Amino acid sequence: MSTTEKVWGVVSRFDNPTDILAAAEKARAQGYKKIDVHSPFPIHGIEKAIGVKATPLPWISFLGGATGCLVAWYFQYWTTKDYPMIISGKPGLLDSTPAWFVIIFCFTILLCAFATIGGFMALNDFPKFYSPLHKVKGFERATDDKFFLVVSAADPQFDQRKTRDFLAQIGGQDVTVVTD
Amino acid sequence: MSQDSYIPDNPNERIRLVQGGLSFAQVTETVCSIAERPTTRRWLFAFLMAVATAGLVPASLAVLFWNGTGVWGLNNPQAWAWDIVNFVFWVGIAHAGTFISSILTLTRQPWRTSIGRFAEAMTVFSVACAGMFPACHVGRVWCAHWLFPVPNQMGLWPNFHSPLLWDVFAVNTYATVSVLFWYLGLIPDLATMRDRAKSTVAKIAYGTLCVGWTGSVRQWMNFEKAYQIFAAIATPLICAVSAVVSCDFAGSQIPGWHATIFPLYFVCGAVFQGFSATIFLMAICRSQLGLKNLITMRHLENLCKITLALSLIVTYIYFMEYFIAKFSCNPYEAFCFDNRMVGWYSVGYWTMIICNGAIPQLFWFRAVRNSIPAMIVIGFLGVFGMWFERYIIIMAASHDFLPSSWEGFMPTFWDCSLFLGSIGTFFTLLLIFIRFVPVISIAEVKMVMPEAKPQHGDHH
Repeated sequence: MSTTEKVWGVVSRFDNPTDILAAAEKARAQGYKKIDVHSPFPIHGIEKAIGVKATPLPWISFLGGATGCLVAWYFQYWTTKDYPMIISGKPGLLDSTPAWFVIIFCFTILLCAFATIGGFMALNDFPKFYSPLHKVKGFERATDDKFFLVVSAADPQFDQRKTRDFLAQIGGQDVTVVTD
Repeated sequence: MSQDSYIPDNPNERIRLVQGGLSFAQVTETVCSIAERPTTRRWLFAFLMAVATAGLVPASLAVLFWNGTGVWGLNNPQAWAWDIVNFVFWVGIAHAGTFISSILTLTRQPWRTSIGRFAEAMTVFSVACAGMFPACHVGRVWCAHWLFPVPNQMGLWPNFHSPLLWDVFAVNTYATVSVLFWYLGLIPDLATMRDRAKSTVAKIAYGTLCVGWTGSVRQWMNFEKAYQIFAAIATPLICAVSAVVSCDFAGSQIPGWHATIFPLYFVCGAVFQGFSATIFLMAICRSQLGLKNLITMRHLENLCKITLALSLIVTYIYFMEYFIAKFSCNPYEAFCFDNRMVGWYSVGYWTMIICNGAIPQLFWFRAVRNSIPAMIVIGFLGVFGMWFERYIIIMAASHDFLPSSWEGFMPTFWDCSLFLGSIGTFFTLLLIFIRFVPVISIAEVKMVMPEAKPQHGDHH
């Protein structure tokens, strides 16, 4: 079983947001590129420290909302254009639009919400029920009160021993090599 | 008030949102232990009561479907009766949750973190209760799909110019968005529950629901962004839902309904009612669940202040509505309002004025805003009064100028049983939520603790 396992990364624990932020900055300064931090709540400034780019989620939401807006608008026109009743503004596209606003508005929000939740799932690679990190003893506290710095084995500078020593040197506790 | 909490007299003075000197781990423990401890007898008793009451729903619906809407007290002038009152009532309760998690997020009110989750749960469950009524009041339930935009056999679509159809879209969008918003906020806390779970069943259940959350930087970035977007889209939505519901009435030409103030009236009334319900339930749950350090008196005081402000708006609208009716010189409109005050429904009218307008004024007094029993009573009366507001709006309007319409409304047993059943359904769902899900957003509460901010230049 263990013959097929390969090294996935090195993880170490920190006790508070100040320490993890300092550690992440040091790891970045050392030249590590593929690092990640796991914390029980977002730590502001950490994304800069480890060099994560801004999320494209707002664009996905915007596209969802825009689609909802146009679909609802055209759909209402499409359902009335073949049934011309010359009352209440039918069947004009522009004449009837004010009465369609409510449904256009609701549908915009609905598709925007779907796009946001869908984008959130896709960008995070969810649902994903397995992570090698769950094998690390004590990692369950990443959702409680501890902070974990992970250096991935995919990092060009990764060297099992050196990385381990480096994490211990910058104050990481229980430095562990994670296998997958 | 608990000994360890310090609340200064000056409301401008910032206080720690988490009292009692709790650490991150203690916050987790305080919230999670509620869902993790063995079932208490109190919970079981409350749950059985709620389920028994909820059992009235299938019974009432069976009788209704078998016999038709004749089993209700509605009659020809009151073609819209308790079912619509209850629908608008439950939609109203929903409003506080979304208000707290969207508007208070956008206006950066950090104190919302410890009450948001619970209020959002109330939103989701009361929308579920609301949905029951339009689905079953159509009479011929096998045609309930006519509510949805589906063409008939002649290719004719529903009228998209009709407020009744807007309502279907608004309420369904609201239900969907509030469920998604609630679930999004739950994901990190479900991961906490997964990581603390002892039994395999709990591990699998929470592990599945939290979709693989590990709290990485990217996950948190996407989470915060998604949360902000949801807050931004839910803000106009809550203003729209009750406003669209009000168009069902304002779009008609019936005196007492045909008023431009209706959208504002319904939205403010709904938020007032939602906050009253939140105060009522929060004041009870806070001590029952041992959350005094997380839901402090300052939190409840803030809720009381918002409720007071909303009560003033609602009271203004009551007077404005009456003033416009008189000022319009329209005898039918004026009669309608006089009839509300002294006619068949006057008890309901004055209940509404006293519970929504007069009694919440007690919140001007600091002692009342800091008294749990007072909050429970005033919160309950706010919800009670708001039910009567809907009752008055909907019932009294059809009691107008034609002698044939001079028939009063009396609810039947099945009217009452379905309403009671919906209350039971609400509490059943709420108790299940309290039993299995963290009732406070653990991650968000930690975020507003001062320890969560990295201290720069203080390297250890």
